[in-house]
Amino acid sequence: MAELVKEVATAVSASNEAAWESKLFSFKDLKLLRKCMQCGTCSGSCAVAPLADYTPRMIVNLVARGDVKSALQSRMIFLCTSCLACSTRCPRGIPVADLMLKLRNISISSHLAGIEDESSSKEFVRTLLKRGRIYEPELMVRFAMKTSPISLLGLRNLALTLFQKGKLGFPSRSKTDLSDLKKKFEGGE
Amino acid sequence: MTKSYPFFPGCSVHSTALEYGRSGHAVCRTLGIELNEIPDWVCCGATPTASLDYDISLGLGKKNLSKVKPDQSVVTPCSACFKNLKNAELHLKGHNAQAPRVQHLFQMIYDDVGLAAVKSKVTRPLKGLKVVSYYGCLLTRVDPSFDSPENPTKMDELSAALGAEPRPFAYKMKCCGGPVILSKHKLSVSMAGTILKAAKSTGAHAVIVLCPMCGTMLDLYQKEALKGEDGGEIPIIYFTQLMALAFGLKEDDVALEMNVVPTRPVIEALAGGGK
Repeated sequence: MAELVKEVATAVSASNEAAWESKLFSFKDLKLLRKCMQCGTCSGSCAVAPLADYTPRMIVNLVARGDVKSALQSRMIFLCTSCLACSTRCPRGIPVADLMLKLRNISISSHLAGIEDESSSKEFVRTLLKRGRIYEPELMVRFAMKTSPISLLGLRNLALTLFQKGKLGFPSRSKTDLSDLKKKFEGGE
Repeated sequence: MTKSYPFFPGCSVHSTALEYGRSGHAVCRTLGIELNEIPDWVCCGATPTASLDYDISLGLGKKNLSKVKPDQSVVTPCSACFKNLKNAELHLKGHNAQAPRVQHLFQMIYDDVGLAAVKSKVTRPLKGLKVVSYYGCLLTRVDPSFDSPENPTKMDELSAALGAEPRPFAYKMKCCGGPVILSKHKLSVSMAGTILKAAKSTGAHAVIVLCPMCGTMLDLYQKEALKGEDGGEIPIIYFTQLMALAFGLKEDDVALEMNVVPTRPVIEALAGGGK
C-alpha cells in the first residue's frame, strides 16, 4: 500500500505519463483533475459532504496535487453514495464520482478501509458470485455476522415485515459461468 | 400486435420489490408489450461491486448484455441495474463492439409506447389523487438525454396523463441513501427521512418511485426514518402500480397490499374524488 501511494505521488509530481498510466488512474484522468478550478459546486451538490472531513472539492485537489494518501484516509470516499450529482454539475466535466469510486477500489485492495466499508462490498460480491444473484435477506445476515452479530436482532423486524407482505422471496440461481470474475475476486483478497 | 423486449428484472424485483415486477408485467401486457426475462441473467453488481473492483462490475454488465442480440433494447425496472448495464453498453460501443441499447422501464414506456397510448388505456382516471414524483439519482444523471438531471418532469407528465395531480417537489432528485444502507445505516435512513418529510409537507397522498432501491429506502425503512415525527406515514408507490390502478387492472396486478406503508390513503383519496 505504502508503495502504491508513493508511486502515485511520484508520478503526479513528475507528471510522468508512463508511470501514471500503470496505475489505477490514467494520465488523462490526472490532466482532467488539474482542470479543477476549486469552485466547490461538487461539495455544494453533495448529499453527504456536510458529514465529511474532506469535501469532494478537497479530494479532487488532494489527488491532483499527488497527496493520494490523505485522500485514501478520508471518510468522504466511503460516505459517497455514487449519486452522481457532483459529476453531473461539474462545470469542467470532471467525473468526481468516478474518482471516489477509484479511491474506494484502492482503499479496499490496500486493506485501508474500515470493517464496515470493506465488508459491505466484499460480502455483497461474495454473495453475488455464489449464485449469480443477490438474495437481499441473506446479504443482510452475512453482513451482520461479519461486522456486528448483535445487529441480527434488529433484522428480525425487517424480516417479519417482508414475510407478512409476502416479499421475503427465495434465493434464485443463474447458471451463467462466473469463474473468471470469481478468480479475480479471490485474487484481490 | 404484441411487441417484446428482453427484460432484466434485477434481484430486488424477485423479493423486496415484488409489487413492482408484478404491476410492471401487467401494465406492459395491457399496452401490448411482452417483457421476456433474459435467461440466466446475473446480478448487475449494484454499487458495492463497483466500489470493490470496477472491472468485476463491468464484467457482470458485459455478461448480461452478451445474452441479448445487439439490435434489441434491454429493459430494466431498476435504476441501479440501468446504470451498470448502460456503463457496459457505453464501454462496449466505445471499444467498437456491438451492444444492445439499455432502457429503463419508465423510459421504454414514455419513449416507445408514448403517453397518448397510455392515456387511451385509462379506464379509471385518478381524479383527486395528489402525488409527488421521486426520480432518484441515477436515471436522468446516467442518461440526461432522456430527461433533465436537474428538474425532470416526465414522471409528472405520466401522473397527469393518468388523471392524478402532480405536486411540485424540491427533493425529487435528492439521494435516498440506498447505496450505503449496509455500511452507514443511520446516515442512510436519515437521508430517506429528509425526503419523506419534504414529501409530506407538499400535501401529497403518495410518493411515486421508479427504482426498487429508492422504494425500499422510502417504504421498508420509513417507520425508522420518521421515528418521532408527527403527521403519520406517506405511501410509496411504484409508477407501474399507479398505471395499473388507472388502467383498472385487477387487485392482484396493482398489488397495493404489498407495499409496507399502508396504501389505503390512496384509495380513499380516489373515492373522495379530490374533496
